[in-house]
Amino acid sequence: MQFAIEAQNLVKKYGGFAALDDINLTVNRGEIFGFLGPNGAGKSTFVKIILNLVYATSGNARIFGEQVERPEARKTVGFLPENIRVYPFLSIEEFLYFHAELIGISAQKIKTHIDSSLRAMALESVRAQKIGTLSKGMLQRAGIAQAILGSPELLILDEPTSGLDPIGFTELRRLLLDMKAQGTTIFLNSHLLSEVERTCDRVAIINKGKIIKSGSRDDLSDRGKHLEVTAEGFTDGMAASINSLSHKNIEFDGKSLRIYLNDEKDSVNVHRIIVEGGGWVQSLSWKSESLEELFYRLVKHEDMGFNKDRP
Amino acid sequence: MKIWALTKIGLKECLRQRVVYFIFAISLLFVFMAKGCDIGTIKGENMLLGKEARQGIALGISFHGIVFWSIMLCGLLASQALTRDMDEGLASVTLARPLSRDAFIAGKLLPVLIISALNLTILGSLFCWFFYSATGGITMQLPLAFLFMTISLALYGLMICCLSLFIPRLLAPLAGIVLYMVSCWSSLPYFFENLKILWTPSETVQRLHLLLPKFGDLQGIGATILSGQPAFEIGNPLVVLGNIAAYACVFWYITAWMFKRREL
Repeated sequence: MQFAIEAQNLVKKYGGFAALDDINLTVNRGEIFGFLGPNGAGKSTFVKIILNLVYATSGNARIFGEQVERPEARKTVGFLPENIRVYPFLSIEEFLYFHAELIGISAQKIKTHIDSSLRAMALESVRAQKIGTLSKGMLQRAGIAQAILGSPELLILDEPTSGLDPIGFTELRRLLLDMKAQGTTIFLNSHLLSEVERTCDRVAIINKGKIIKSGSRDDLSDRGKHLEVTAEGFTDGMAASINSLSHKNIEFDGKSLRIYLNDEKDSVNVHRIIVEGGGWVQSLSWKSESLEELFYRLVKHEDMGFNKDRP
Repeated sequence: MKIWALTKIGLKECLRQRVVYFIFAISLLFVFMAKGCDIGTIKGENMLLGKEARQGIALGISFHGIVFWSIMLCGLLASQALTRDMDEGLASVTLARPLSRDAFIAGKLLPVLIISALNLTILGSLFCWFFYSATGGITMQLPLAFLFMTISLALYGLMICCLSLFIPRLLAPLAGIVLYMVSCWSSLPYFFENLKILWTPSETVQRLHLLLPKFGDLQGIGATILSGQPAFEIGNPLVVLGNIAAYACVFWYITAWMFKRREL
């Protein structure tokens, strides 16, 4: 199968510091892929390598089977950088015209494509406005309009919601889902985990240059399934007994207990241990971890040097 | 089409810079100087210099003044052609498109050369109009002299663009003008017979003249064509043009090699 993006053993070093450390990643055609990570994790470096703006120290990357070093690989790619910089003296329309020419859209079709992009980002009424006079949100809209120009097969968005208002968020989400329905592959670099959770089919979490978790959204949520217990009179003895069950981790914040169990049947045993130990179970329920919780837990534990192979 | 798209943007960018108009205004003063010094307008007698000699001096100063400021303009624009886009993050959005880095360099350098050549053409035309209209007719000498200077501009622009990738972009035109001046200086003994009586070029000067880009020879050829006086030791113009072509290739390859190594 030909992937939209394929990275094999990608390493990027700046002196002794590894910004990317042996990254293996594939993005399927037609999916929305979320790439998550804290600041400085290597997300933007990865994107820049894919776009041949930064060169990998070793390993290789392909876009639709084409080596990223070849300009042809970017023929059907739309890109929105994290902080877009544009010639301020151009109007939005001139800016899009410039990019349409760079993409190689024929002169007859340029106007149609520009109109379509402007309409999608609700920029029609300000098409003649100079970029230098735009607000941050409007500039971001212009940047997205530039990225979706010419109906790219692969859309790479680095923090696309930055500067957008809630209406902009909603419009962007709709746009991405529409584009996905039309077969566009979308690679989303974002800190806005709730947005990623709502739109992405698959997610990878990167920290310190390494991918610490990847999989489908549902898969990741399932693996973070845990038993949440609110109990009074919880003791260390009870914790030791629960530890002997098939769980892999306990988190206790003084009031509620979060237990990651491998076997759902053990929930009965947890209840029994607490009750027999003289405690009082106020509530006991199964909960799925949100992407935000999963992200926080994985990154936090990674930063603290804990084993990353937990569920 | 892609290079032309970049060139159009580059032209707009260049024309928005005040330095273009400032340098044009300075150069205009040299044109007016030439107008004020044609034989018809020179008044008074001078025991040392006749009217023709005074006119010749004014013509020379004007011509070289215009060329110098055109070179300055070209250098200032060329020093920012690539580095400004790289420093301000503009290049990464452009290069994320299916565009090779060679095409990017060409698209950024062309507007610099067009603006510089246009500046020289306008000034040259005015020079021609003001000076030669008074003397009766326009010969082909003048456009030909300025054509040689356009070749010099192209090489100079390429050299400064190349230098700007190695040294701070504001220093590149300065370093370039020093190189230009050294080249002109090492060419002097080969163009002025009288000078050679006083100054026999040392081996170092000869070596510099041989190895440096022949900006000085080009300027000398331009001046020679303009004055109608045969150059003392002009040598074969093909050698000069060969030197210029070779240096143009070298500067292009170094620029492309360096720019391709740069991460954005």
